[in-house]
Amino acid sequence: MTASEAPAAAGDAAVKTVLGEERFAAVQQAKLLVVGAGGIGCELLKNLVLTGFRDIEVVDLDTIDVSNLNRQFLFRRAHVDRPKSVVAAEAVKQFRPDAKILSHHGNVKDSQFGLEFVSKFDVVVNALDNLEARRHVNRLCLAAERPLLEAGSTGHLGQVTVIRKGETECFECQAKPSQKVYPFCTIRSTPEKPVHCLTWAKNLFDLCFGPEDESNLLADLAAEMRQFQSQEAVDGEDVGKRIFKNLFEDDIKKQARLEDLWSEARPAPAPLGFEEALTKAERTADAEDKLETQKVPSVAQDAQGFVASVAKMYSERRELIGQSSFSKDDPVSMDFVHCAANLRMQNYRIARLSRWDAQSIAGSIIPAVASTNAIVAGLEVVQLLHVLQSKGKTMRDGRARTVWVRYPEPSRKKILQPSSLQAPNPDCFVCGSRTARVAVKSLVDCKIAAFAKGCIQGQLGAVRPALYANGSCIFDPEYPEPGPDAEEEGLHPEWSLTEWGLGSGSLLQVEDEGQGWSINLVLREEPDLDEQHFPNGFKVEAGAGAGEEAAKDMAEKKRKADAEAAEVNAAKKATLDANTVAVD
Amino acid sequence: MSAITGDQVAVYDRQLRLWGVQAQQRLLNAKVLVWGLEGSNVEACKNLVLAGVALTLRDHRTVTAADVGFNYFLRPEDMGKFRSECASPRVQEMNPLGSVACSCNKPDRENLQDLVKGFDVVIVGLGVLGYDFQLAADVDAACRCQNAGFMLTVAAGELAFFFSDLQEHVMQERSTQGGTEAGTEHKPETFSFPSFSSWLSELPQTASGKTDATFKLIALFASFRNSHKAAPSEAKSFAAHCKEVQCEPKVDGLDSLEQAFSHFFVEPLVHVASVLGGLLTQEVIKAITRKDPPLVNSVCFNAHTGAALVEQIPAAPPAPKKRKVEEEVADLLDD
Repeated sequence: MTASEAPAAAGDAAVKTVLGEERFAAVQQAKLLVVGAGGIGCELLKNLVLTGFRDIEVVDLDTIDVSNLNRQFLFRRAHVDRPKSVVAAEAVKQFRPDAKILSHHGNVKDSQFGLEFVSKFDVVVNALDNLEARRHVNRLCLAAERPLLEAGSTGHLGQVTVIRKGETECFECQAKPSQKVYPFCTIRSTPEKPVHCLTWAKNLFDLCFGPEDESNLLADLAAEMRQFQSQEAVDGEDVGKRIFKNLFEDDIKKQARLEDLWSEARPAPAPLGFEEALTKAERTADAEDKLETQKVPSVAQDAQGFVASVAKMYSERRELIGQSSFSKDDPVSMDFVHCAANLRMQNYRIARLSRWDAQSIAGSIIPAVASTNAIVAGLEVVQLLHVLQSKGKTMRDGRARTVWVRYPEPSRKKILQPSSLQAPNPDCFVCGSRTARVAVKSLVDCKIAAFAKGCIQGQLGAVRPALYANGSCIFDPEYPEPGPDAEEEGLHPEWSLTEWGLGSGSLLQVEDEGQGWSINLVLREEPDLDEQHFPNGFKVEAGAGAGEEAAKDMAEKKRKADAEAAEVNAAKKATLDANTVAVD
Repeated sequence: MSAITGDQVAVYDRQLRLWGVQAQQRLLNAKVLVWGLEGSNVEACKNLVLAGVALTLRDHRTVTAADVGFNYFLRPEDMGKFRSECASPRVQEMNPLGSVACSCNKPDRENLQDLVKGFDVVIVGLGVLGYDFQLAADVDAACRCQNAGFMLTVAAGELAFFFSDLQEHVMQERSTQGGTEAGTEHKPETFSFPSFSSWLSELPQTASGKTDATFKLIALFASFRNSHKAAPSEAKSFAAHCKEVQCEPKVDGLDSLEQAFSHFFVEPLVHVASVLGGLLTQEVIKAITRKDPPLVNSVCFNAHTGAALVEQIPAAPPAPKKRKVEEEVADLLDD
């Protein structure tokens, strides 16, 4: 043994003393997939490698940002912009050079990480921060019949649980709140809250500087914007002022004239000219201990900031115009969105925001700190050791638990509180009945491609869904666009549900081969569908919330649940609610 | 108080959004002594330096192979050198905006006050004190004189424990919604912590009372140390001691008291340290920021159950019973 091997041997010996021969052997033999190399992932990889795990692959699509450095302790400033998975793997290999760690810089939803890939591993350990990816990995693990360690953290709170097909609840057995979508007209004409104006401003940035996109909420303004932008010898400042005049002055004047929209309770918006804006230099008084970025700028500063951000796009990033998209971490796009949203708030008499708060909302930023992630990642390894010991018995009979991280006070003396794993929900649309009902506002207006994207992908969490009705394929993810190729296959992505012969009561089969998941949908037309809550024009009733019968059933179950379960559910919901905004 | 710089805002963004500017400023002005690079203290070093707290690492012991296997701030080439000297540049490297100092001196029992002077919080590992519970009580007493918070960590394989003494701690504010927002409501509240020597004076009650088995195990270890050496070879006499005082707790996941005893002398598994070190860090941060109610005063984590428990030892004296007005009037009339 060389000097450099001695520490690994001594470390292993110490772990073996504590775990015993049998458990330690299971640790050394286990082949693990870690999904995510961020806040939880860095802590997790460190814990795994130093506890003796030797065979790990890690997937992450992200690159390192400065704001990661307060907790993702494997990363240094020099690593900024490098792939997280690669840097994290290099760093933990230094702790234990004998560990085999393979990194993949990519999206776990890509087909290369499908069922075949996941089946290579004994256990999958999640270290993810967004619901979409967590739903996808859940389905992969159910289909590949691999145990999954699930974890999440938000600020000081967190939780860890274990999922195994047929034995425990899956990640989707309890309905997850989906990301909030705002009605089109609220964004376009009648914003009431800062978030409406920020959503508008993000769409505006992508419209002006991103690739053409029909689904952009402001897509109908594209021609107008291009006109300002395509002037010969464009001067960025001039473009900025033209856009300013168009959006914050002329357009608002037109809006104000639509008298039906306005009342005493909702006064008409006030147009704002650029020169007029520059005269509004006063600032609201802020608490002294606030950072500069936490103070609300003057209207004049917003106006100048807006024009300056457009000018910067032309002077510094001209070659990127047409391919940029909003990012909360990109200062120029963040300045643009903050200033544009604030100017619109000024139009609509909504209290304007500091850049700090605008960034929080526009970027859906979740507060995060090293200590919570360290706790959560430690608890994942605790549960992983239980999973490795569970051979031959079902997960719920073993030692594995769901564990809740409480803060700041313990719950009945427990600051880390375990609770029993729950049985699968038979109504679950993912691991149980696999049926759901979908109410569609208008079957005539709803195109099959839009239905596949908005409903099956967006709400039911599929990645590459194929749709079947009456025994034949009516939508193939290989042919999402209309055209001769699609037609040759007998497909028409532009056809409406009615054109495909679907009506109220029709049955639709959905299959996602990549996820190894399928579901039966019963369609129903519901012309009165409330646009405020279902702006996309469909409502999914699946799993826990499927129809009235299911609701009754749930009410019954709820009554039976003991006090602890109720408490645990409340905490779970609180954490999940907080996680909803975690879609980065 | 110096203003937070733009560079600091960029790095500390996600935690500023958790605990706010004032708390961050307090953290940036705080000094913490981590005495003993062992167990959960290693994790606390990582978490605290990332949070922006200035650290001093103190350890007079040299690096062994097992240390490198456990402590990711140490490398094979460090073997034989001082632990704190080798670790401090690597702790510093994680946060160039922070500050990390080190000391390799052996503790001087006579000058404990000088040793803890100037620190807001002192975190001590039982191992670096040679498993000397009395010395730990002396360090706590010195911290009390110097107005520093005191935390003691003890580890045993898959079990881990810490004790904290923040004396008379005044919480000035509270996070809203489980700490997910920086917004706070102001409601000062005082928490009274018992000293570690009163913790030690409670050993028989702790060992035989209704509390969790891990607390009992540590209390038994402490009482055993009054008359015995700290060495793995003493496992049999430890079991005998437990029998003698008629307290033989069954700790979830451990086969025997001999086995439990031997685990006091191996580092905890890193994931166990990760969990307890995270909880410990939260308490240090609460102590410094005076935000959110602290855990009073003993916390243990058992990896077999996945639970971490909080217990006040000795228990707070029962609140004086409020007497009925009639009784008081009756008393007065009797006089």
